[in-house]
Amino acid sequence: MYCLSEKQIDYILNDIRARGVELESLQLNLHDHICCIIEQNLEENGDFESFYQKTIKTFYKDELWEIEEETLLLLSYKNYYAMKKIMILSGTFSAATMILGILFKFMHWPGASLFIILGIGTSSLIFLPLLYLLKSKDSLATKDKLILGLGILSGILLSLSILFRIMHWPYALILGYSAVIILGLILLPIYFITGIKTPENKINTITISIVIIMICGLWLTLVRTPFSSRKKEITDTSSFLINEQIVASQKRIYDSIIKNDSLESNSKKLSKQIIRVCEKIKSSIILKETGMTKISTDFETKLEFISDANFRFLKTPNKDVDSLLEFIKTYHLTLNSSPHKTKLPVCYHSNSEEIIPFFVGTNLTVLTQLQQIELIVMQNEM
Amino acid sequence: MNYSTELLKGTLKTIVLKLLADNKKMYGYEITQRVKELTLNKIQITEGALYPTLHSLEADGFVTTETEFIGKRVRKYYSLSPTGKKKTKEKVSELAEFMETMKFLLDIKTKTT
Repeated sequence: MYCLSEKQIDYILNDIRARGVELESLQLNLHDHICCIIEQNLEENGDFESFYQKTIKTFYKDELWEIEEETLLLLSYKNYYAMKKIMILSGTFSAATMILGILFKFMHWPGASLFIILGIGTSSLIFLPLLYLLKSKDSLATKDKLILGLGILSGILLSLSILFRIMHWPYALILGYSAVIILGLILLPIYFITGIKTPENKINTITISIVIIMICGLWLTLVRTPFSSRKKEITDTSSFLINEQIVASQKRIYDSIIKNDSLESNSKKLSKQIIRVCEKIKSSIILKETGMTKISTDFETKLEFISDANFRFLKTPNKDVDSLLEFIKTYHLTLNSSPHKTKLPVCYHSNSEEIIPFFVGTNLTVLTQLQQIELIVMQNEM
Repeated sequence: MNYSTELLKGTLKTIVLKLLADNKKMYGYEITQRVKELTLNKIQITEGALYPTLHSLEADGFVTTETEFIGKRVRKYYSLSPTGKKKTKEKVSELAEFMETMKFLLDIKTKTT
């Protein structure tokens, strides 16, 4: 029976680690096991080094870390069936909600966006990651795993980018660009160069590469370039500014007329209130968009633009919006006695007195609508 | 004679569980030696098969471990958990039944051919 020295015991443990076994409990198991074999089988003054090398070789075919790989495989295999089931379920769920979402969207039924969010969300956050985990288990080569991983990652990013775009959430463009960069500049070269070398995959490689290029191209075709976004922002903002000038000059005329009237009728009071609330809502939209309460004429140099993002108040219900809707309702009641006056540009729910909150659309649409209300109210008083 | 690894693969879990049921607590090397002894060298469990199986049984909750210091090194002892004891009974009777069926199946085949 051989007696191992402390140095030899340390040497064995370090060697096991150096051979790529990372799980600590497996390291300890193998360590004790080898020590036992040496102690039992090596003669008292035998050659430790050569006996150890001979023994450790009986543990594996090619490398010692095969044991760790086998362990991990067994450990993850347990979840294999559950994962497969969840993948199929989430896939079916996302496809079903997607179809419903599109159907609702085209039929203009409420709830469409909820279905679409659920559909894209489950497919990109549950279905696709599981697909990768399960597919990469099929003992693929590292290269194929990389290609699969990159492909699925860009798929996830691309679908999230479209979801973010339609929901007007931030970073949609960044998500999309990263997907296209991964797909076109990383995955495509790796896939093409490695695939074209093997003659039996040549045709397949070429067709898939064309498909990848087309996907990237189609997405880039849909996306507005930074240059044209800026151009649109400039046109939108200057159109808003011109309208503002018209409202302001109208207001000057209006004020001078009102001043001469010593008696202030109820309708005039109401008009003033409507104009005041409209101004308030306008400046809070502009504040949110640009950080300033007013847009100046040199907005281009100051980079104060009204983007074409969808209008959204931070807090809903919003007090100003609510009181505006209330004022408009009362205003329309007073109009019944004076048919020559123009009605304000709002829609009512069918068969009801309730105004449909008109604050839907982009910031520019909402701002324009508010300007129209102001102008009509002023005109009606003149 | 040594049996093929394919044959052993499906039965290794049962062998390990049964040994632990009979011996309270054992460590890896001990298990391989005991199997060798009991089968008169006919079955030799490799380290590459034993430890993945032990880890998987541990993850399933069928075995529990305790560590002990043997001089400078650590030894992991394995013993059955309550669910492991139940599982052992199931596995052993399943394998026994399987062997009966195989005997029957193969006997018939050898007779008809």
